[in-house]
Amino acid sequence: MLKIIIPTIMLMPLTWLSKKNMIWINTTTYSLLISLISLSLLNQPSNNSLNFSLMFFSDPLSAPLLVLTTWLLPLMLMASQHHLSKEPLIRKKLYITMLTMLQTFLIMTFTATELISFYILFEATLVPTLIIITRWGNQTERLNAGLYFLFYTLMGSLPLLIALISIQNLTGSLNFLLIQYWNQALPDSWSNIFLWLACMMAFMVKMPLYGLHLWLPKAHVEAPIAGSMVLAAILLKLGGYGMLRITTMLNPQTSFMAYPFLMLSLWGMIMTSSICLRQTDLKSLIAYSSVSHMALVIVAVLIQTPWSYMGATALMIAHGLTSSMLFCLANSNYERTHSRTMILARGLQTLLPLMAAWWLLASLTNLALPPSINLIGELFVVMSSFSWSNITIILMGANITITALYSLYMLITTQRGKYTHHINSIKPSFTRENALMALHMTPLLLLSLNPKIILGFTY
Amino acid sequence: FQLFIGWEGVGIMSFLLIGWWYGRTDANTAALQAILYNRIGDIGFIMAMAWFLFNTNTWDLQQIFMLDPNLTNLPLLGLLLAATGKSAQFGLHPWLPSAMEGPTPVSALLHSSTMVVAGVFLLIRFHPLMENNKTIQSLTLCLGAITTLFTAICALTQNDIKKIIAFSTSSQLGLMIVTIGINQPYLAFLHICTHAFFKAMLFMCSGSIIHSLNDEQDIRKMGGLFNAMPFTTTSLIIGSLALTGIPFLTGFYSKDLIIETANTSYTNAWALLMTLIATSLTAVYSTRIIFFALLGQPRFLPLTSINENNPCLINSIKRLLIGSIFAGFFISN
Repeated sequence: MLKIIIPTIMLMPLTWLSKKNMIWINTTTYSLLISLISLSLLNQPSNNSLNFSLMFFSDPLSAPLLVLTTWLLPLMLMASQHHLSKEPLIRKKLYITMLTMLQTFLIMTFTATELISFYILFEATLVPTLIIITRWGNQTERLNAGLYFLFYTLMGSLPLLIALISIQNLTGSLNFLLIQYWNQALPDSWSNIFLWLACMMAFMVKMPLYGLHLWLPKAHVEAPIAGSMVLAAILLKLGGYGMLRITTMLNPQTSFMAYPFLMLSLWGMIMTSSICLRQTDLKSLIAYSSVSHMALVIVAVLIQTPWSYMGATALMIAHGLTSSMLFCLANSNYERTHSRTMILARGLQTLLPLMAAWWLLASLTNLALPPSINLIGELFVVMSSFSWSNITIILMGANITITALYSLYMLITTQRGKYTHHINSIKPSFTRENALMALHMTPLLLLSLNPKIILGFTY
Repeated sequence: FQLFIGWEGVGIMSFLLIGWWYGRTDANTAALQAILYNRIGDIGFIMAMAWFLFNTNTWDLQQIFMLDPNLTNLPLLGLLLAATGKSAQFGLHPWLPSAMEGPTPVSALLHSSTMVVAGVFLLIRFHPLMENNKTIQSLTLCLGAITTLFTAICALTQNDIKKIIAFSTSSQLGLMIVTIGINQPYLAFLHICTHAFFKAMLFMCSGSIIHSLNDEQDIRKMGGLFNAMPFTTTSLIIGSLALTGIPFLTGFYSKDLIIETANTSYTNAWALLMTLIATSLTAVYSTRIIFFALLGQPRFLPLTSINENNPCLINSIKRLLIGSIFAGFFISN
């Protein structure tokens, strides 16, 4: 694991010592190399986790998320090149440093063994993200967005700290590997109910759950492109990852404690999808679609069946790649028209056909077209929720329909129809942008050939 | 699972092809409408998949048929919903006429012969399960009967040639569903094959007419093409005759067999009556097309470049023509 963490930390001196015309090249190349190293972790020979040290390990759940994280850093760097091109050199280096710090914390979070270290790093990821959103965001609302983001997440996670400390006192160790063996059923008492709530609320806010999701559209919309990408792709998955880890300790109360959250998720899924149909702001649409997909993950984790865990992990990876790609596409629109309103940039298929192809692929995977991994994730979740209760299929079915509708609505509004007359002076697509989209899409398409890798530890 | 991949795939292809002329707003909304109705049907499909997974532990058709589960109401309802969405049956039918915004070859391929029969094909595939479930059979029968009568009546009042043919497709699909409802899946399959020939040909002929009249699709503005486009006229008449089931053309072998079976089987009298009325209406609207488009005096603008010279078009219509006449004979013997 140090093979990945130390090079990522070393990316920071790399940016500060590079020459002016080499910073992007250096950082992108080296981060790509680091992601190739992390691919080797996907080779999981046994059912148990790969244990590397006292502090870090990797198992079939965290390995795909780790690969996604490391894969995303070069993509983020590529995407940020344009909007940082006018900044002075020091600020560019500062930006890259922030991204690298975030990356380091994320890698350590996904591979942490001790739950307390997981918590510390979980909180630590908030700081670079906050700096990225508030310093390099584009509108004045970014300060408000940063505030919402920070305080929502902090409020949710402070109870988690207390809960973890109390569990440490009770069982003597929070090492995740050991907990698997020491696990006892929690007796049913009021304090244990609060323990359950304390553990889960942090991740519910992060996911986000429908009632606590207000920070997400603000943060996504105001963040610069790399911030949006990393938020959508990885930080939301931190919540899912945490939930998947913690629920092993929390039985049997989950069976009745989960009901209100399940109802909120199921209903919230449909509500946020419906909001997407009426959005005028492109990034806001993608942000709400993220909430909708994550609600599916919450439902899957709370049902706690092997199939649903498989669906949750597959959906997390698939959604990470798809949302990130959609944000890159929205950003390419933004860089040209400097506005996020959808109808200002329509009829793009006539002008930028290759970009239209990427838009098409991204929308198709967003609506979970077979045989993409998006579908596999959603299908598994729908199957397991059907087994939990037959009636949920109606809600899930409604969600699938509305998802298809807004994805294609987004596609049609931006690509088709007659183009506006003020748009014929936009720059054509850069190779960098096309490469970015291709690098997003290729793992997505390749994974549909062999989804076993991302199906998590219940395969 | 593989069925589902293909199922969704044709849905998306339909979206892309209907919206082929993407500069046109109507085409885009029609494409979106197609996807909406298809997706509603897909919920039914997914529900059926979920039920099969948890009650028969498999998605494999052979295993499901061997296990022969009882109480198959729920999954068969799901499959029926899927077929309704995909094959434009009564509740989920509006997308098919709107889908005529696409180019004519698209309509010929997707929306007459191959894609829309996917729904019927699904029901045929699951017929061993449907044999045992009387409720579902009655439901299919009534659904098919309502569809075929309703769309036949709609076809009578349309003025756009492609929409008439679209409604006629919908009506024939209803007929196929009726056939499944009376427990004759093999006949339904035969009708799929034969119907493909003459419906595709009808679409191609209408495409030829539309193209020569410079994108004029309203039959009230056509007329007198009998002399101007002899080949297209011939194929149109033969196609319409085959559609109505005139003896010894293709349609006869499947359509007449269906009607005979329906008459002699112990089935819902109301559904039977509706089907018979719809079949007679088929003759009515086919004659209407022939009358308005081909006979009488020309009602289009005088300076047109009517020609049938394009070999691609003519060859395809020729082959479909031969198929329409002989295919029924060859398939049944």
